[in-house]
Amino acid sequence: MSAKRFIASLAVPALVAGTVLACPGAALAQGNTGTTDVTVQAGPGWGQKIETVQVKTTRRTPGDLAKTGDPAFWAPVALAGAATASGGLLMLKRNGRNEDGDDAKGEADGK
Amino acid sequence: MSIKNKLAAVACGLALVGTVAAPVAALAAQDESGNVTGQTTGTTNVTVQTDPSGTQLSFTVPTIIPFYVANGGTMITASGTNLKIVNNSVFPIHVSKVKVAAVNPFTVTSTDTTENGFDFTLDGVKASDALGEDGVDYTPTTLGYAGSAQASHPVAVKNGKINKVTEDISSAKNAATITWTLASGKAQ
Repeated sequence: MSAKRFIASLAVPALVAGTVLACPGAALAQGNTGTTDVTVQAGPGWGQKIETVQVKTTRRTPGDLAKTGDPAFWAPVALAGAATASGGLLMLKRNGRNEDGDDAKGEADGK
Repeated sequence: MSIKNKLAAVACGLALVGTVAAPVAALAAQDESGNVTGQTTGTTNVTVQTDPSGTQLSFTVPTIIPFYVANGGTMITASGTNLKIVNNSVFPIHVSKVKVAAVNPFTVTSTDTTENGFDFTLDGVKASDALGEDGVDYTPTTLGYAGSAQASHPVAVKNGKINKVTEDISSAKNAATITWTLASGKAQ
């Protein structure tokens, strides 16, 4: 057998084998079925500890007394007191002036 | 063989070929008056039908249905507009069967006493009812031909609930597999 024939005898099977290996297999049709995967995963808040906390409220029910040191209640009372006191002082001052004026007038009339 | 014999053989061959190639005369029937009677035309019906074996369907189903679990065990997933079955065939098709298979350690069940047990519905069909080997009949759902307004069907995935979770689900875990069976034609 000549060298050319020998090489050809080797090349043909190699080409065939390479063709079979290199060509992608046909994508087998699914027929009439399809598949879906279902997954499960923790959502937001999963595993967080839920703690119940007592919330202080400033809203008083009828009959409840305000606790000492509760500024929410005492502040308006203090302001009202201050306003009343201021008003009272002012009135006293005015009355005092009027009395002084009357006394002076009375003395002037008495002379 | 002499030349004469050769010529004779060729002539016979040509004659044979001519005989075979000659069109057959359409002999028409004639009445006593010589008028041609009988049919001179024939008809052939052409029918169109989908492949009964259903192997020529082309469609897509959702690759994955991801459930997210809230603290109370309620499972929520994407809206139906994101979970669709799409027909890519030139004729209408419908979902004929659906089958659900759980993936260990999860269980598809309607009871609330099973660890890692969960259930949900697909267009109203309970997953826990579709665990049989052949699945169950699906809600009548017809998908129009490819490109039509009805070619896409959003799947309503609802009522997801899981109980007694012992599995670590901080990352997505494969819990079940849904197998959709479709057939040609409209849903009955």
